[in-house]
Amino acid sequence: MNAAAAGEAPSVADFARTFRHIQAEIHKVIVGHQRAVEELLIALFASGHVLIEGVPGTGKTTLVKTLGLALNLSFNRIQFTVDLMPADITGTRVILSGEDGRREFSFQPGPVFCHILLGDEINRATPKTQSALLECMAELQVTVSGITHQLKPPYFVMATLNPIEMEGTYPLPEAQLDRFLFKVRLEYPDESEMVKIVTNTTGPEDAGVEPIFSVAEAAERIEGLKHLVREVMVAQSIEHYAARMVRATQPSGSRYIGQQANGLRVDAVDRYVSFGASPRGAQALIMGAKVRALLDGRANVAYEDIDQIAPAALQHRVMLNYAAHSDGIDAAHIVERVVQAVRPTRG
Amino acid sequence: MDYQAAQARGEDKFRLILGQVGSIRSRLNALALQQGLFAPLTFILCAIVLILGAAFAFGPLTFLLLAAAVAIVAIAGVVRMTRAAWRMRTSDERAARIADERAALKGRLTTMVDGARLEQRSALWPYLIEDTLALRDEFAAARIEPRRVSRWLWAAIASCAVAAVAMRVAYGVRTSRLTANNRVASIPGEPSVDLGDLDIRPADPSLEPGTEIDADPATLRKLAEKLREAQSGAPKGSPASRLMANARDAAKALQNKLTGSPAAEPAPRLKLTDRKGGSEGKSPGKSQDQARAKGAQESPQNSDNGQQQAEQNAAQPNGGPTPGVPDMSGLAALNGLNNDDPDPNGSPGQNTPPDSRKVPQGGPLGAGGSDHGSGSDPQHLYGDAEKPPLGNDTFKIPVEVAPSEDGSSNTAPPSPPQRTRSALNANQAPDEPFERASIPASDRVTIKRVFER
Repeated sequence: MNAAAAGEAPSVADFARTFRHIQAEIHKVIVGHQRAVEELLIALFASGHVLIEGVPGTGKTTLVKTLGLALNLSFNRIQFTVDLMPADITGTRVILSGEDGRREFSFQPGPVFCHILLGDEINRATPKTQSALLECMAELQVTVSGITHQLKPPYFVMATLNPIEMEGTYPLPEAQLDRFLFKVRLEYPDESEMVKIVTNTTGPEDAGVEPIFSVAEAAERIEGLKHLVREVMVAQSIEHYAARMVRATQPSGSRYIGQQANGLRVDAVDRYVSFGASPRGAQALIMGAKVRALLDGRANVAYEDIDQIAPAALQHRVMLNYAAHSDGIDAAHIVERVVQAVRPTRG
Repeated sequence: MDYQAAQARGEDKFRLILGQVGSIRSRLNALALQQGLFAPLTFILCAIVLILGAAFAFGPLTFLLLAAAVAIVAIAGVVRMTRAAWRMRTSDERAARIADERAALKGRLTTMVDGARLEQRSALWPYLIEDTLALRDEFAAARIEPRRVSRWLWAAIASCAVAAVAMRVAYGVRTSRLTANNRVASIPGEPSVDLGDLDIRPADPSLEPGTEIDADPATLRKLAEKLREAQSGAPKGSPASRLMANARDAAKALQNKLTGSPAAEPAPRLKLTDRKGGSEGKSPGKSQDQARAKGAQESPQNSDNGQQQAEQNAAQPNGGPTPGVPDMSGLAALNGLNNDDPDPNGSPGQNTPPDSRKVPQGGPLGAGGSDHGSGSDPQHLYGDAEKPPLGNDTFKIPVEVAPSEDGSSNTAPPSPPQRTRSALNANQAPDEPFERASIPASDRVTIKRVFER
């Protein structure tokens, strides 16, 4: 029994131990995807949400389900379709008859009222329905018929994207993309991983996931760990480094940012990026770096933490132009160039 | 109580860490200071050695260019090194960053130094202190920066040694040259030349000042007229060439100071005669030969330059000729004679101070000049004049006195052929002296008689 379990504030060591424990439980079911699982958990403890992108069959839904089971938190899944309405996810007022026979309007909570929400193939719903998630993700509240309903923390939204079936889909608007802390890419498994997947899933027994926390203490424990993350210290020079990195994703000629007098100019950005990361990108860098610092047993953020978290935090915030698509340049390449350009400016 | 004690212990540990960061900063700043002192010194000493070497090895123009280039490089180097040293100075924050980087502390020290300014510290602050203190050996000052002495110190010592050797050698060479120059300057000589044989034309402005001329006033007046004709008829040098000449003069003067070379060739003394005028030289052929011999050594002087300098000298009546600057008082007096003095028989030197006048009677100036100097003046043929009729008939005028075929006298001998040396062919043998034959005793009386006759 560690200190955190006994009701005390968790320590740095508790955090790292709990994190690795959750990770190990998930990997009982999920084969491979070590980096994706780690980034998923980092986003969870950094109080963010995750967009998961991967081709069909790579275990997106399984990953999210397994996380819910391991954390022993309430878990809901919404399959986004083109005819899904906002009220279908937020909830609506319905007429219910009481025991005394009286009928009255009562708020029926939608699937967003949970701790972990999986929005499967979110790009298949209309933008109106997609935007219904905005308030939940950003403010942990839902407003229906003028009444605001609070969501219980921890609240963690994972949305999946299928990158190959684009017909009849509605790409997520930039404003909604920006609200996801990380974009995690699930790669296609290699041969050995695929053999292991087949072995695990075609046998008589499924691999069981042991919950890390009890139902009663799960939310509190996770919130305690999230609070510890915010206590991690960041030197000013490192905050400047993160800000510099985010500014470097903006093309120098962008009319939205004015003159980047002191900014770095990255050729690839100027050539292929139409709009770069917002200040939320810097927040994502710092929060993700704090979790990485705790995992490394430190109470302070290092430059290396920022560099490691940059691809997940900045990729989906960089809007590429037509030249990038025609030249086969993706956002990961741009972020890599940005990190290379900013690295020499460390203090 | 326990909490306060724990907090005090934490502050002590924190101060310990900050003290270690401070020692890193001190060490880095000491290195920066050393670089700021020794790097410029190294550059300056190297520049001095190079300029000194160039003064001995090259001519004035090359020396000028090299010295300028070396000086520019040295100044740029000094400025750059000083700026680099200034940038190297370190604050606590920078020392912490450097220590973090060199000891792979992943920002622990930087965060601590930053956190020192915060009033409200994080809940993880004690953990950070303990965590950093555990790595105390990693960021010891000697480990972060092992050097106490900058590399520039060794460079400065080496350059000091080289400069000392170079200066010692230069001093020796300079002393020997000065001794040799004094010996050469003491050799007397005063050839004579006929005015009619002089070819007067503007000389290269870069050349050295020329000859001191002694002559009677009439001859000098004619010489002044010839000078004026030459100045008015010949194109003057372009401003660029005059600038170049001045620069070369300056370089030469500096070079002479450094190397101990004579500031200028000792001006040959020349007595000028005018066979066509009232004064007749006794042996113009002899004086022409002497002039030719001297003229081959002397450096012609631009008449423009000479006149400017004469005016400068006239503007400084009490100042004698400075070393390296020709004495132009004669020309100034000459100009006064021809232009300013209404009385042609009056004293042209009345406007010049008596110090600048030189009377060619007796003394070293008259040495060897009894045939050609004052004797060329008909009034003084039979003795010294009691009083010079014109007040001053001795001038120093820089002129070119090299013999030329274009001279005004048809009797002037042609220039001597240039000596050439060609290789002998297979059928030729070098000259060998005849063996000295002994004189027979019977012929000795006859030979002696011939020589006696």
